[in-house]
Amino acid sequence: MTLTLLVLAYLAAANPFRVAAATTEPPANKVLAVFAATFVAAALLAALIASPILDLVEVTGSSARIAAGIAVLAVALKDAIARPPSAEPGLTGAAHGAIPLAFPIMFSPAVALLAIAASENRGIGVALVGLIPALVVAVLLLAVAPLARARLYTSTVGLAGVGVAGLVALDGVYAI
Amino acid sequence: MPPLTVRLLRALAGWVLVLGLTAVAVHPEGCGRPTDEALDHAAAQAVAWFGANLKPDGDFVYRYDRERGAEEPGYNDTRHAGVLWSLWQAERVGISGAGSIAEAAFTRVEDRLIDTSFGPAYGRGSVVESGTMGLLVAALDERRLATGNTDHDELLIGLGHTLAAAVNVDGSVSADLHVDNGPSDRRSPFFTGEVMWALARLHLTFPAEGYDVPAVAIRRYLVEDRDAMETPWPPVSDHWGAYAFETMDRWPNPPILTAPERQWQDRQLGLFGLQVRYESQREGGITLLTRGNIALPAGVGTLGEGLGNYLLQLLRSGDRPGDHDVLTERADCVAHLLVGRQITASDAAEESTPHRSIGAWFRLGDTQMDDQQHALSALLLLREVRATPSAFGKNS
Repeated sequence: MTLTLLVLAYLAAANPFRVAAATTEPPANKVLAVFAATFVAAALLAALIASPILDLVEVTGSSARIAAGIAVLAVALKDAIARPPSAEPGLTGAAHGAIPLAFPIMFSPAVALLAIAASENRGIGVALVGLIPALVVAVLLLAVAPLARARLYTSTVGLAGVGVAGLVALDGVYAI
Repeated sequence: MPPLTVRLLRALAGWVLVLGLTAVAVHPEGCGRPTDEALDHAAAQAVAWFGANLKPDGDFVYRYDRERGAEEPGYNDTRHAGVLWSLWQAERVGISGAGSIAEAAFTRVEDRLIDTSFGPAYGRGSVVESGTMGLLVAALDERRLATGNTDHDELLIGLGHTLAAAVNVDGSVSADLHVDNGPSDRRSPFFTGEVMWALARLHLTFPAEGYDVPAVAIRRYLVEDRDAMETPWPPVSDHWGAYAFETMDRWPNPPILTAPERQWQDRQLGLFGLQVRYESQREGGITLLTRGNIALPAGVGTLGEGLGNYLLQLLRSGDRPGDHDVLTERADCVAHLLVGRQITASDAAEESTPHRSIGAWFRLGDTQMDDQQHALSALLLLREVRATPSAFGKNS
């Protein structure tokens, strides 16, 4: 899986517009920091356990990419057709960055499976580096909240994500 | 229940749904790495099956229905030649009795050797098949290596000329040679690689005969034109092509891998890998609904043959270091599937004719001699891979 494809897949799986759509005003810096830290920590955890978890479920790294593609497809389809989530209910204060902004809104199962597949395929470093654009876009969008037409953007990324999901799955199909 | 708890539970349900969807698409892959001893035993059992199922006229039991306990009609000269190749391959690594079984089975070939205007041919009637002769050449050349016996050299050289006559100007291989009229327009997805492999072997054994020229022509056609001209669907995972590439890589002056050849090999390795991953997901139970029945044992064997040949080539060259581990993993998986699916003496203890089953591989109650042939060759190749010094600096 190329880094470009990984970046696009993370953008589709995390869909920063989804989290922007759920925010009506710019969060405090502490909230943003907790949001970013939680998101990265969750992805790091997924990347770290990639090998043992794949061994446990007896799935090769190549097939894990197919699984990640299917997960991205499901999440992208939901983004394309469903209403974006709301910010409430959630924790208050800085913890609002963790729940619900990081989880469950941004850290989708597709992000988790992508982190696992990318870590197994390219290593933990690449799995995390590929995540940066999605995270940066999300933080920038949160900082300028509320975002007009956020739902439209969420759906558009979702539609594009369907294609990206196909490419991720094909990458696994064509792999050894 | 607090609204936040409900939200988190709904989120978790969403995760379960998505992960469930992925589980439908990707099942656990039942792979492993059998020991060297397990590979040797399985190969010896397959050879024993051929010994127990050899008939006085040199034919083998071609197809056997285990549930009915009955032999089924039919025979195939190409597959007979393939069995000879595998048996002499087994003889070369020292599996007891393999050579004598092959010698006895060669009777069938001797009865069907004919003279044509191109040279000697193996077949019947007015049409002979190039792939059949290709495998016969591979078998006799392997016999030469296994026994040091050169009594069939004249036949080998003659068959080489006949095979060269089946190679067209564009490098394509005619599936048939009309004894009177020459090559036909029919193409076979397997004969192209078989003839290329045979000519590649002959060039190693008889370098002065010029068999490298048609072999290289086929190689170019196979890589650059075959898919466009013959449009095989689904794409062919060409194990015979893999044999040919591995053999040509051992030529004193091997062809340098071109960019299209590298691209073609990328696709081939992907095809072999994908099929191994898919096959290893067929573990009965619910997977019968999602993955269907196990593949023909011959088909599983060809996966091991393809992977084994490419691994031998890569181990020698040190090429594609990033793919080495995953290729070894897939090759081990094939070995695991073959060892696990082979019928043992205890499996067949209740049968009226257990010798028809012991050492064989079945699908839906049937076995065919090429099931044993491809599985045997795969096991021997994978054993050879494990014994080959690695250019990567570690054991495979």
